[in-house]
Amino acid sequence: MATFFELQEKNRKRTKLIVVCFVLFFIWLGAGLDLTIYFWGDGSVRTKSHGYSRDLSPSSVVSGAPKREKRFRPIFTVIIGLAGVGVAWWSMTNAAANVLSAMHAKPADRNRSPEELALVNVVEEMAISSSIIPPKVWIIPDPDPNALAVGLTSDDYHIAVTQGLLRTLTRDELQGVVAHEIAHLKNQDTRLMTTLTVLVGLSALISEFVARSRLLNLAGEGGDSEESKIGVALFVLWLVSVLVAPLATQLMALMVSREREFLADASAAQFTRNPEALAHALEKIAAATARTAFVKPASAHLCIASPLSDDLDYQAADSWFATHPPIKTRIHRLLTIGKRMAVQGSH
Amino acid sequence: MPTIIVLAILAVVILWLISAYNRLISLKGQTENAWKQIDVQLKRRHDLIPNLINAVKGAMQFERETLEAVIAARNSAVSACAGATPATASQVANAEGVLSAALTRFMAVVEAYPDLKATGNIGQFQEELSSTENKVAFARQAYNDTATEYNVSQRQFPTMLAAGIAGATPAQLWEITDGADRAVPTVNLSMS
Repeated sequence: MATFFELQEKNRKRTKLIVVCFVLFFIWLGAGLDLTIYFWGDGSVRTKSHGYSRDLSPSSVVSGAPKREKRFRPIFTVIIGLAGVGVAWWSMTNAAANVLSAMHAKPADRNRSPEELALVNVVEEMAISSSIIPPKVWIIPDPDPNALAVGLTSDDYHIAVTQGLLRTLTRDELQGVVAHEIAHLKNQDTRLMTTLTVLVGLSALISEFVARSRLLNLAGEGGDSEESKIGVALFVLWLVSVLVAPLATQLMALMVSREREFLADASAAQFTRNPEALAHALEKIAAATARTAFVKPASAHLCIASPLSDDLDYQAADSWFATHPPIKTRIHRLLTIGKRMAVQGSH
Repeated sequence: MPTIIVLAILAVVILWLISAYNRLISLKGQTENAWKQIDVQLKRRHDLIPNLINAVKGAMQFERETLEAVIAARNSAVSACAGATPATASQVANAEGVLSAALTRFMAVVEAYPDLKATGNIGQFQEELSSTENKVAFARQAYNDTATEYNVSQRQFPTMLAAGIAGATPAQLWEITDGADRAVPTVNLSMS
């Protein structure tokens, strides 16, 4: 058994490891092509390349360069790196507003109903508990219980809950759910997941581009020299990586997403000192098996529980393709934290 | 070649020292900020109490004693809070503990008035009061969590080596010293 602080530490380390793998994979997507060009023999590609002059393939780059003197030029490493940073930055600058307006969310009003008053108060309490600036609070008109957090900078944090959630949960349970969402903001998961989502999309684009270009035809060609054999081997390896990239990056992003859910649960236990309430809330959310209609699948990783009804099944097993860990496992971990707290006495 | 290796090691040590120093300074700032947040929440509670009492005063004419106890506890808490530092934390904690206990009795009395319960205002009143109590409690908790992290990293190797340069000293935790505060029963939190 571990305290929520130890669990948080473990989760953070695992996330870092996966993200490092992610970045290394992206560097390989660019560098692999550059290395291929570097190692690929002198004449053989050039003579075969007239037919492919329209392509942005290594052959056209190679044939354009003077070939006597070989130099390593990390052209594609830089291009793919810049494209990744650029697209990630672009999507980060206009994410929050889009997500909320797509869900027809309206601002919560503390004078409208007792439930909304409690919600606004609970959000303020959890902002104090986690030492962040209170986020804006929104209500989503959906009868299915769910909640999500969006926003990438501390002055632009938002928390939205469905009307179904307000109706279903007690105040303590609502506090647990809000604490989980605030933990996503505090741990900067919204930023991390937005970046990863964008990189997954980018790798799909690269893969598509390569698959459609004539680069595939070049595999197996090349000179007999030792270096060009290395070149061919690298190229084949690179091609395989590019073709599996969309799936591989998707799976890595989902792994990160599941780690961050556990982290947010452990952080929620710290902020509320009441992990049992969040466990009960998760049970209630799992019991409502309907799909949350207003949440688009692209925003699923921002929710308290997956908005897709298949993943919500209480018996659902751990899946490589799920944005959230199985609810059963989450509840079990929360109750374990609770038992540990009861033994130690909270401070 | 050996010179390069020595220089590289030196550079790594200096970079580490800078990051350890910055971490301690940042934790110190967070701890001070969390302390101020307790202050903010206590003041907020002090400001809220007169409003709450005004809202129910008319219907509670013959409960003067309870109302006066709350007001007296509130006033002594206000004076204890004025110019409080982490060193005087225990005095503030005592005064706030007395206030919490008075508020709990007050809530129990309010519960006993069917007239008051019927007005519908009372639900909002209870929610505001319990949220205020929560905010004070969570502000303390956040302070204790931050201060603990600060204290632990001061003692931990190798960050402790930078503690002297960063002028880091252990922060005092907010302990509950008053038996009355420890015994505070929770207000009914159900949302009806």
